[in-house]
Amino acid sequence: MDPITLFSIIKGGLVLGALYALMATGLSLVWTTLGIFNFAHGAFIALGAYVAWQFASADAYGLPLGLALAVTTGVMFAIGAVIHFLLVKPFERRADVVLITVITTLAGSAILENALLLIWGPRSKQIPELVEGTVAVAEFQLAWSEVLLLVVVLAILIGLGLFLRYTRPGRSMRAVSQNREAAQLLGLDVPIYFALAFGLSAVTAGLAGVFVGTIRFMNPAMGAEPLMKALIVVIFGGIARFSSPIYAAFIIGLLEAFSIYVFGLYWAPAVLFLTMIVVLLIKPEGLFGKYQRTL
Amino acid sequence: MKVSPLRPSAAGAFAPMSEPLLSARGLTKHFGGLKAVDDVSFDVHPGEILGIAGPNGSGKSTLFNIITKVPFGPTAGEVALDGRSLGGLGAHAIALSGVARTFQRENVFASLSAVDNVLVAVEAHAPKLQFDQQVARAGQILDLVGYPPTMHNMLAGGVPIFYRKQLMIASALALKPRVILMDEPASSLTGPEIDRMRDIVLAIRASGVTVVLIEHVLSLLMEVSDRLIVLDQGRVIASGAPRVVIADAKVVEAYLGVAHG
Repeated sequence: MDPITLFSIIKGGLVLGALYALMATGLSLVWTTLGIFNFAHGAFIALGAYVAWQFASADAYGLPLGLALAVTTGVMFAIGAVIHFLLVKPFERRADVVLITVITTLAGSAILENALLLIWGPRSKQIPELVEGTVAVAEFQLAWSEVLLLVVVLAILIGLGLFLRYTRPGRSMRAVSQNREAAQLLGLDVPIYFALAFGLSAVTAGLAGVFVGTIRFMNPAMGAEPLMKALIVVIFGGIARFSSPIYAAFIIGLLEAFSIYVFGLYWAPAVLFLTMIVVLLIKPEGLFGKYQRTL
Repeated sequence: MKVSPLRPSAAGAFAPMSEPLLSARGLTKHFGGLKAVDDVSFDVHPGEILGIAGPNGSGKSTLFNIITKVPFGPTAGEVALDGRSLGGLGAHAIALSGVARTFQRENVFASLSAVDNVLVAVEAHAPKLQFDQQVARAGQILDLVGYPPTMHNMLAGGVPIFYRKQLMIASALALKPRVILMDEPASSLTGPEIDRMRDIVLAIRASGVTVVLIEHVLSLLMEVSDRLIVLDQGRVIASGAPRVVIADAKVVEAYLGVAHG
């Protein structure tokens, strides 16, 4: 393998890893806090992309991209919170909440995807590149948009980590996630923090969708495959710490990029699943996992 | 609404003149056909330590559950703090209104540091306070319960059981409650630790917080309680001065069974 090929594989792997990290972090945020799995996470990815397209694309409102991203963030947060109050909160006290919310979030996912289809139609769309041009060091080429993606994703993840660790709502959210009843007894309004977790999770999904929308063509079902990858990441890495899915995402991203080169596009998912199964056999709680779930 | 104070029971030597701080009227909790708590009424007066005793399964912890609404409220009945009904409040609002509670098991936030455990409650109670003052207050409360200053930054899940109990109590006190409901603070503690727990309970009372104490360690309960009520199968079977109550035939029977022969 020549250095340029190797470089481009690693580059591709890092970009994939960054996207997976963003999606998986959102997914695990809801899982650690509420103890449920949100199957509408993939639809959030598509929704984020369409909302950003609506505001940023020259065919629609044509706002500056930064402004469009800000609007997307706000819309996604609101949608996430609303989805929580409609699809999860009514079943919170039931013993079979995990199973029920599998159905309700799947239903929510179907409704959201079809709403996207109704509103924006079946024609594929693409979000304009965030920045244009490439940077070249010797023979190694790197698009500015890829650099920006890596930087922005890492900034979002670090920001989220700092929020959870050093702010009042973040600390309260961790308390709620670790012990719902004790948190209530210490005066925390638990549903508010659940909605906050859902909102933040939707924001990370939406922003991941925006990046996916700049790389690939958008369609209402575009979130299904990234959701599957995020799921692999979360299971592969475990969720013992906030950072566990992030490390796992980059491992999976790089593994996928190398598998595509070595085994071809069609075999790459099989390699990922095989790796996940092996990890689960050896370390069932995930590569970086502990048995309890914490935030 | 105002709740009329109960007349002191015939057995009770303690007949306080003050208005009750916390009063429960007709508290009842059904689980299907089982009456876990059945028409329980009592008053707690400011500055008092009210002990609650009773055999396992007599409804003591369920009583605390339905007062705090964590995890569920009563089937029937009413709780009032300072004459104001808590009926319409959610669990977190009850906690903020002045009724704190600790659990029998050391219920802490395991992967938060010790000081963060208390800080969560300080922040919920006083969100407008400056951050450094909030941290200072958390420190003061940890000092009050005797938590070692060198262990403030250790993860709560990693400290020994007695310290976790201290942390749980400190977090509850960080809400600046009027009354604290303590569910078996001495369970799974060693003898010397039980003595320290007694000092903590008395220090809490001395700091102006009224205490309702469930305890299986009867020596501790007898020593600190001003009054005692005894539950059996969800009902109050005796109440009054601890020495009188503990000698009551119904109480002896509830604990030891009916005497034969």
